[in-house]
This record gives sequence, C-alpha cells and structure tokens, in this order.
Amino acid sequence: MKKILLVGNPNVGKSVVFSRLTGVHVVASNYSGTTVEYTKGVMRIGTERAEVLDIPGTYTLTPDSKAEQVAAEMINNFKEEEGNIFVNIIDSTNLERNLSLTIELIKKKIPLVICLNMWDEAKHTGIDIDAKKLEQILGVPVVPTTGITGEGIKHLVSHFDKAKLSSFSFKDKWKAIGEVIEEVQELKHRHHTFAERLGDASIHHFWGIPISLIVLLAAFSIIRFLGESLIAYVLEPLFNNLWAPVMMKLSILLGGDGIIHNIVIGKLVDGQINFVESLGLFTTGLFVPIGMILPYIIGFYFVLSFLEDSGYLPRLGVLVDNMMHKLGIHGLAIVPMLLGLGCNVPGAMAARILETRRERFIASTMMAIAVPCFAQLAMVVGLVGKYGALALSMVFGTLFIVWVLLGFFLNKIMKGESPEIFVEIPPYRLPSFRVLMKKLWMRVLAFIKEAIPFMLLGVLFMNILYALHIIDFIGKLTEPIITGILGLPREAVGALIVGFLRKDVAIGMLSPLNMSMGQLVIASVVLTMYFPCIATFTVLLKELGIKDMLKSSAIMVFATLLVGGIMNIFL
Amino acid sequence: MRNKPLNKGHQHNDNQHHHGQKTIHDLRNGESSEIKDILGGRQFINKAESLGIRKGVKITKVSSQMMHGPVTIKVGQTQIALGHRMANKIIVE
Repeated sequence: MKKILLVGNPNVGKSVVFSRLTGVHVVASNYSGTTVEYTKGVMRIGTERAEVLDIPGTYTLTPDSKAEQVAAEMINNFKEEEGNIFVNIIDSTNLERNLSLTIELIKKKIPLVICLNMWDEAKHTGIDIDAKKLEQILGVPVVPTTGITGEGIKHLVSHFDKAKLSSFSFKDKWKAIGEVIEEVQELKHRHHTFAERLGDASIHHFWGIPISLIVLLAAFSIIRFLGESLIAYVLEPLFNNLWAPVMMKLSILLGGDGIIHNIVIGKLVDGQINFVESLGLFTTGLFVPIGMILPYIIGFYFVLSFLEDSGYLPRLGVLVDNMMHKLGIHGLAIVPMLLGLGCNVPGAMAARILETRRERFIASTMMAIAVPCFAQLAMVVGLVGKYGALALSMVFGTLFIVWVLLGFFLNKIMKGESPEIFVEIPPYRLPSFRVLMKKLWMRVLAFIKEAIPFMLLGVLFMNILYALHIIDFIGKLTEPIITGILGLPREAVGALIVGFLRKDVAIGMLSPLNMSMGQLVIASVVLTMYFPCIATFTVLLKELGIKDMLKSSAIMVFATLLVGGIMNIFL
Repeated sequence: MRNKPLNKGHQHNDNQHHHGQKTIHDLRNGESSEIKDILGGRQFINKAESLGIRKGVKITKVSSQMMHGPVTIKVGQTQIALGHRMANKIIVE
C-alpha cells in the first residue's frame, strides 16, 4: 500500500487535514508541538487504498525536541518506494518561514505535493498568494485548502497522483526563498484586528495577569457548571430512578447477601443500594465512573480543548515562564501539567515538547507526583467535599506546595541547566465548534473505554482481596507505615494496592472506612503522590527509561512518606 | 550637584553586554528594527533560523515580561517568545 507522509511546521493544521483525509479523529491542537507521536490512518483514492501518516510538526530536519526528533526520523527514513509521497502542509499566513522545510523536503528526492492550508485565514489577514505561480516555480502541485472547513481537500486528494520530484535549485537558501516570496506573495495592509490586540494583551506583562486569572476562573466555573448540571439533571435521576430499582430487584433475587450478591451488588447500606458505598460491580462499579467522574471529565475536556485550539496556552506559558524556571522547566511545561490534570498518560507524553532530558525528567516527575488526574480529582471532591472548602483546599493546597517545592528541589540537585523558552505563539483562532465537539467526543470516548473496564476490574479485584482477607494480612504487615507514619486506618492499604490499577477506584475505597476529615485529607494526598497508576507508569517507563524511572519512583515514595508524615503530625 | 548623563543617554543596564550594540531589549514595545547579527552556538542559530529569525530580517518587539522574563517578537507574520538571555544574543540595527 502506498504511503502518504504529512509533513509541516508545528501548528499548520496537519492533524486537521489528516482527520479530513482518513476520518480517523486525531486530537488536533492549535499550539506548537502537541502531536508528539505519529498517527496512521487509511484513505481511499479512487479504488486504491493508501496509508496516511501524521507526524509531529517540525521546523527543520535537524530536531530540537523529542517530538521533532520523531518527525525527523520518519522523514529521513521514508522510503522512495513506488507511490510514496510527501504532502507538505504549509501555513499560508507564514509562507516564507514554512518554505524553509519545503526546500529541505525537495532535497529528499521524494515526490511532493504542497498544501497551502489556512487559506481562508490568509485571505482574511490580507495575504495574497499566487498558487499557480508557486507551482510553476517549484515544479510541484500546489493546492490551497482550509482544513477546518474541508474546502479544497477533495482538490488536494485529486493531485496526489500528480506528485512530482522538484528540480528547484538554488545557491543561497534564504535568498532563494526571498525571491520566491517576492514573486508569489502580496501583502495588503490592514488594521490590527481585535483578536490580534487581545492576543497581545494576553501576553502583556501587566494585562496578561488579570486576563489569565479571568480565564482560570472562567475555566473552573464552566467545568463545575457542566459537571454539576450533568450530575443533577441527567445522571443522578438516571441512576436513582431507573437503575436503583433494577438493582434492588436483582438484590432480592440474589438473596440479599452472599458472595455473588456482594460482588455484583455489594453490601446494602441501611437496606438500600448506596451507589458509592455498596461497592458492587454493577452499583459502585458503574456509578462512580459514569455518575461521578464522567460529568467532570466532559466539562474539563471541553474547556481544555477550547483553550488548546484558541491558542491561549503558549501565551500562558510565557506569563508563567519566569516562575517555572525556578522549578527547572520553562513556561511551556505548563502544557503537560494541564494535560496531566485530565489524565496523567497524555501529560507524561506531552513532556516530549521539552528540549532536554533534564527538563523532561523534572516535568514528568512533578506531574506524576503532584498532579491528580481529573477522575481522581472528581472522586476527592466527592468524598472530601462534604467536609467543606477548607478540607478541599488542604488537599489541593498541599499538592500545589509539593509541586513547587519538588520542582525547586529537583532544579537545585540535578546537574545542568534547563534551556529558556523559545516557541512560536500562534494567533488567536476561534475554534470551530465542529472540531471542538469531535475532540471532546474523542477524549470522552477514550475515558469511557479505559475507565469503565478498569473500574470494574478494580472493584472486582478489591472485593476479592477483602473476601480472601488478603487486605487484612497486608494491613497488619504495613501497619507501622500506614498507621504509624501516615495516621490512617490499616485497611487503607487496600486503597493503596488498588491505586496501582486505578486511582479513582482507590479513593472510592476510602469511603466505607469512616475516616476523620484529617485522615481523608492525608489519604487523598498520599494516593496522588505515592505512585502512578499502571497506565501512567508504563508510559513514564517508556519516556524516561529505566534508570530515570527508578530515580523518579524513589522520589515519589520518599516524598509521600515525608509529606504524609508531616501532615499526620499537624492534622 | 547635577547628574551627568552616562554614555550619551544610553540606558545603563546589564543588557548592554556587547560594546554598545543594540539588542532586542533596547527596543521599545512596538518598535521595529533589522537584525544585524545573531550570536551564540550553532544549535541556537539553527533554531532561530528555522523560526525565521535571521540576519537582515525585520523584527518588531511586541512585549517583554517583568524581571527578565521572556520577550515576544514578531517576525513576518509569526509571533515568537524567547527567553531573556536568548534575546540578548540578537543584535539589531
């Protein structure tokens, strides 16, 4: 099957074009360097099928970050087989700079098609490009497209079999590019748009700060609003009015007690089904992911996707860069942290946008230790929230302080220095509602597909552990640590064990233990810090390598005991 | 006693490392200039070039952050943010 490699700078719309070609929905983001892995899809051209590869954006073939390295390798290793082509996706609003990569691709001697993407935006910003002339000069097909609306995509595909080897030659690369630009591009003067002025204000050293606070506040409010509305108006009625009676009937059928009953339905609380405390597969196992966590996941990813696609995040990165440097990472590292807030797995992968091993180690460790995933977070809010805002702020406040101190500490003891921020700031773009919804759907679907099976597995596993009294046994062994240092009831070790599998289930396991507010706070912090869940652990192992992962793990365990112990003294 | 101005009115700050040469830091917000030279190692120059920052190119300073934070510049149609020390390596007319 012939292969089509989509190549281009970061932030040119490669992933959007990819999803248009293949129907495979990739999570496309609007800021430099988020695609950190390649994606494969298949498309039909006439009667034939072709494999399409979307790779991370890169400015040149000499890579700067790990993400760019992935791209450079795939480009350099792309075979000159029959039918294989490069499709160079160009940001039409930045033609001059984008041509630099184009020229390097031409040297690769693989047939090329040029896609002038973001064509509508170029028009709107007064940039006029003569595509036909560019085609004449470079000797390869040049097709204007607008990925987010789909305009021009069919036209682009019809040119895939016309991909050519360019015979464009030159002596001085930039002089040649300059000449090409002279001939094909015309800039019409226009006034600063509102979006541009807002863009400048958001990064302004003074105005940027209140703007970022407004954004953060708005983000939290929307997440809370969406989450709470979904729970109150959709999910709780669904579970209480429809599902609970069904479960009660099943409970009676199974005799109200016994092993099968307790695994499937769990223990009745006051003779009723309690969706949080019963701990049955079909009760807690379903209610917790769907009725407690999913609503907030939807809210969170809605907000995050909007922030990504609008182009706000790199600006936020610039504002916080100063402070982050004291923690050994530069401002853009806020991206893996925010992604980690959704799920630690994409957070760990996003560390690839950082340039050095040192930064990636610090950022990944900080994220794995101090950033709870939203599923976990929602559970903590559900469980600790009943003690009020003070308890919640103790949990999250402690995690934040740990995050800062950890970064500070790692920055001091690790050799070397972290490089400064050096990144493109894309213009503000209003995200297309369609793309936003698609992105949201993809992420929510991924959560449902992963969370629910793991949840059910976790509840089952935990029930078995209790039934076989294994929890009791391990609890007695670890009592000096769990109760002595951390001040928790020894049954809490069950949560720590299940936490290896999934952290949200682990938090849920704390609920029947009747702990005091102080203990719940300590337990929530400990569960976040002590070790990553298996999914995150696997990714971190791959990203950091064994040696660094061991170092990171040691730090996690040690920090947990230290912080938990200190909290125990004070709470 | 009247203060005598230092160095013909040039600001005396620690950005002036390069014998009176102007860097991005000496531009005001919104001011444009042409890049005269880029100092630094090959990796930095390569990355700068790949982002469109090279000799002879016109850049506009957009803003800077407090306390030696990053500087934002505009090159062509692109906005780029770079660290304080990196910005010091870009000499302008």
